[in-house]
Amino acid sequence: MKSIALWPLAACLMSLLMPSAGARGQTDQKLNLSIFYAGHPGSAREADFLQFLNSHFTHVDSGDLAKFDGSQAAKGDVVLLDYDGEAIDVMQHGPRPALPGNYSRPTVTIGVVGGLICNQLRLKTGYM
Amino acid sequence: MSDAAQGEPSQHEVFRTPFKVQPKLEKWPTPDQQREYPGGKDLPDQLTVWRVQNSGKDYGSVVSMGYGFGDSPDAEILTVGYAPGKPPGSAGVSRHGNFLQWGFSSPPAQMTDAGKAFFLNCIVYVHKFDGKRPLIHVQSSDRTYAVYLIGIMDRFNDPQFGARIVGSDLAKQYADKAKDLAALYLQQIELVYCDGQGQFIIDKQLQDLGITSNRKVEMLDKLVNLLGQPPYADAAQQALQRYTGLSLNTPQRWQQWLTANRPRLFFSDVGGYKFFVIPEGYLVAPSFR
Repeated sequence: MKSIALWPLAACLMSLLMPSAGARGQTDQKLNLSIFYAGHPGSAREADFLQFLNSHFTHVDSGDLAKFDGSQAAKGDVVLLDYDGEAIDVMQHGPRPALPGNYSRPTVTIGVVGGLICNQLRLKTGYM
Repeated sequence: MSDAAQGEPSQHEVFRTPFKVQPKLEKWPTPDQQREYPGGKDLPDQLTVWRVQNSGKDYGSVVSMGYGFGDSPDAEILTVGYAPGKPPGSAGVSRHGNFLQWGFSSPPAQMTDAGKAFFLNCIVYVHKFDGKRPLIHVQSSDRTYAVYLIGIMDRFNDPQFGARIVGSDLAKQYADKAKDLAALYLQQIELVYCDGQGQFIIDKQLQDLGITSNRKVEMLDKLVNLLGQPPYADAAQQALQRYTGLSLNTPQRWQQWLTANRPRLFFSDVGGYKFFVIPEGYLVAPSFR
């Protein structure tokens, strides 16, 4: 009985100890991964992402999505592919990087452009 | 998609590590449009959601098709997105091989605390899939969605739509009673497949062989067994080729292939209505930290 009664207290303590990325009180140590962010150079969106990524990862590099051909992926443990603009603009004019067939780097595709890239690669994660 | 993920965070590591994702859960009304889709009728009046971002818009983010997502071991839905107008179960954040699609469109400044934690966890999580390219690529809709499409083929303005998905004869025959045709397909859903032209077909050849499902490994056992029975051997050989993409030429070779690969076989509608083999060492063990 005692152990059951202590469960809620233990759960509360555990939740206080778990780091939360959103709130302050999250881990002070950066995550030990290098990130390569390919987006729209000079855009406010790129600046926002880079600031956020730099505050959480040990190394962050960036490049232009329009010029991304997979070779730049060697600069990061994880690659992020992103672009700014309204959905309709990204659909009509956003860059569509052509990745080589043997591309196998861990990659996060983001938003509309991400879904379109996944469509191009015939992935289940494509834009419906 | 809206600003919200749908459903409570699961026990998946992507909600637990390195950051605990602790969203504020809300109840939003179930979109009426979703009730038309397969699985939509049983939805409750309200859905549990949590805000990933605050874009101030109810559009602009993207979802991926949920039907058939789980039919290959290289893919998983990490969270469904609250997306009125899209089928229930559509993926807001999902992974296929070494690619993880974050369907939410806002930059970090507009993400909620829970959204930021989830996004960072996704980056950390996908790193485990370095070198794990997708095992299949999208070739077709899964059979559940195909039957849904057949049932509404008479609603499309394009008169060729029906012919493209069921062939011109059936499309003509059921031009104004698409729901009846869908009901026929539904009765035989375990035998539906998609041919090379993109038409969905009920596999009468398997039916004649007494086989009731084309996506169970037991079908392969039975077909290999039938290779040794002359009246059925040709049909069994054709079916084996159709569902594996292989053209082995003796019963012994089929048996060897089946024995060697049995524990690693999976069937994917989306990948082309075929069996595939998971390469040795491909699967990544989940973290229970």
